[in-house]
Amino acid sequence: MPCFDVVADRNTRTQKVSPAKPFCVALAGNPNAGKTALFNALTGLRSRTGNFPGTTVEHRTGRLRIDGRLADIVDLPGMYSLHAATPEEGIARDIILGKQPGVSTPDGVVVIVDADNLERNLFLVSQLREFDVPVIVALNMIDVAERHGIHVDEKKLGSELKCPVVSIVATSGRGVETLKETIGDWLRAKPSPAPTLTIPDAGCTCSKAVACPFQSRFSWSESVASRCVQSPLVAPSRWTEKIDRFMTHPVIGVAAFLAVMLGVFYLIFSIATVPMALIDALFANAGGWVSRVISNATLQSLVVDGIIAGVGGILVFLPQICILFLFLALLEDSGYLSRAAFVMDRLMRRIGLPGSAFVPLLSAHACAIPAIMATRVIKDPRDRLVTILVAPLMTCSARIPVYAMVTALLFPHSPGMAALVFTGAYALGILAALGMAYVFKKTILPGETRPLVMELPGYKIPSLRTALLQTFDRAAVFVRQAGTIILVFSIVLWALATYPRSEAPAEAIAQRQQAAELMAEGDDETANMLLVDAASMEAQHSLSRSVAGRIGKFIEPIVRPLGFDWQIGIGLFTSFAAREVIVSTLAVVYGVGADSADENADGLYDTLRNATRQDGSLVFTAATSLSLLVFYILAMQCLPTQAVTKRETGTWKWAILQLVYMTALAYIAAFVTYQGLQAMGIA
Amino acid sequence: MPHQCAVVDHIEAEDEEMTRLMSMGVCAGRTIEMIKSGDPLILKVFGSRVGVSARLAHRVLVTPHGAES
Repeated sequence: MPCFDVVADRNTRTQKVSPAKPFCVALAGNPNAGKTALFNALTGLRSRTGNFPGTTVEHRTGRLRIDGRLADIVDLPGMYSLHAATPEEGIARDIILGKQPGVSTPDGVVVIVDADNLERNLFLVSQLREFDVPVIVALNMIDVAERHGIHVDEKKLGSELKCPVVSIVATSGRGVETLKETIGDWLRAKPSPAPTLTIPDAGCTCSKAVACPFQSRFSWSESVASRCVQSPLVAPSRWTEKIDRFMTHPVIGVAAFLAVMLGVFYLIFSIATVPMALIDALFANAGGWVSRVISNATLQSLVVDGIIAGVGGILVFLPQICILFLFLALLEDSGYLSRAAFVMDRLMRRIGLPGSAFVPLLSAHACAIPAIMATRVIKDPRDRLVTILVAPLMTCSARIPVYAMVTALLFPHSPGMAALVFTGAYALGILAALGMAYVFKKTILPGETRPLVMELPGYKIPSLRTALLQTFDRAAVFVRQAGTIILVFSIVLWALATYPRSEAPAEAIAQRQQAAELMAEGDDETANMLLVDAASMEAQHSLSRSVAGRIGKFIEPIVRPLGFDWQIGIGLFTSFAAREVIVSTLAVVYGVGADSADENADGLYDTLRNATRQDGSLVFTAATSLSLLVFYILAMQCLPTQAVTKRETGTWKWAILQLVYMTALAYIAAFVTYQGLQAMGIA
Repeated sequence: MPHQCAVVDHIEAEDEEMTRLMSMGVCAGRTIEMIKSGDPLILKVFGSRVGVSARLAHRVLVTPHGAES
């Protein structure tokens, strides 16, 4: 380990004072010390979350307003010391030293310490106090400390550390105004360099010499704490320890965790149905309204069939995504997620992933997008990348309409077989993900999984406010990222499916004439039926002659070994950006019409089941249907997921890999399914 | 053995993960307590509980309280 002499480096760095640059405050502290809560208390909604360029580390910045003056606040990743042991700690250290590109050197550091755990937290404080940057110590969680009978003398601590110390409770806001005032002192008059502290024997590092630098710092921390902190003689037994006896037990802990996740999923799928139906209705109404307002048929089609259908199809999943974000945030804040990672660790290591990968992979069963964002809890970048790559293989909500369709085609009257198909589909997704994770760890992202070092913080009642802020933040990222890409692609796909336009087929024209005659006679009902039929015929005809149709015909030779024809091929193409689109595409392709597919799913399934090819053979045989199912279980057909992958990894490289390997996997698996079933005599 | 206090003697083979553990308080001269054995195990250091993989914890050599060093 190199000698830690960056202290001298930082102190000699000249700071250019530019009056235009706002004062920059960095928020540092141990993980679990309440930094996020304080950041939210100081900035409220005036914050932005992003990634440090080229990294997977989250970057939160915000604005703080005190007495009309503005300051920038940077929320540094949690760190235990400036000896960076993880990429996050490395970036935090680089920012403080002014070495992080794109981030201005902080003019002041507010370090948040846990009053309940002062000695360990002082380690970081001692390192920061060796620089000449002004420091304020925010003594957080004094309510918890008081509950445990621990009393910290704020003034004495301040004189020991030679810097201001403010007691706060970040979650309730107690003391935050005083803290703001103290920061305000910096804004009012540029602070003079604070006198630095020197810790005896803390300069050099070694592993076996007498004066271990860690040891010296900790001894110093202990002595400071002994002078400033009063602890009760008998430590009261704590709730955390009692609960943990069960939560970290290898068997009970796993069972409890699965029960918790089951509960969360149940809530997601039940609570979300109401807003989902609302959003669906909202978009349907918007479509209707637009049709009345815009008379130009092409523009109308673009907005209704292209934009509203495309964007609406994705946004309808927003309630599920938000609820999942919310519950993950609550579980994390309560401290429970660290127990979940702890208890799943041993099982996960068999495939080469850490225990902390389990929650993201499980969350992917609702939607891969929050799951990929949740992978930031995985410390090792390689492990995180592998998890991001395999998460989309888990069966997400968007695949369910496809499963429902295939099951209806195969086993319309057998709920038992249908349940079996569904379970098999979920299992295949899970096995594929675990298998691919194993393969990736052995091939392109090799490396022994880092051993677990994870703090199990005290349990606490999670803050709903923090969780809601976090949910809102993440949902906004999703809508922005996914929304823009989906919007562009919806328009492109619409254009490909609409142009070149073709004339209505003769049969449709004849039907329209007939309908007009019937209307004149007063038989509106039959007339309307004929019109709807004619519209479906026209749509089918038009789609097959459009660019999308031609692409379908073009890829037919490639997908025929999988049991698909060019019509299904069109579906594969249009569902590239969003997998559930296949259902409505097949409806149009087989002449049922997308609208009636929505209203009368059974009608659609009946039609598909009976659809025949030119030579009279059934299209959706058992082999073809199962092959289609297998393809959709494994294929990457979700542009928003790719967008989020790109954002979280900093490059398109991994998103492209996702697309390529999953498509290959889906193709091979569907091929094996179809050919295998054919070989066994099941047509 | 659970709930046994010990004083850390020295650390074998420091690396990044060990640095993280050391920053949390596991270093020469510190008292730690093993709350739960197994893999991963739970140590109590400086009043906070830390889950640690066994293979990392095995590189922390300790002198149990009460034993002659």
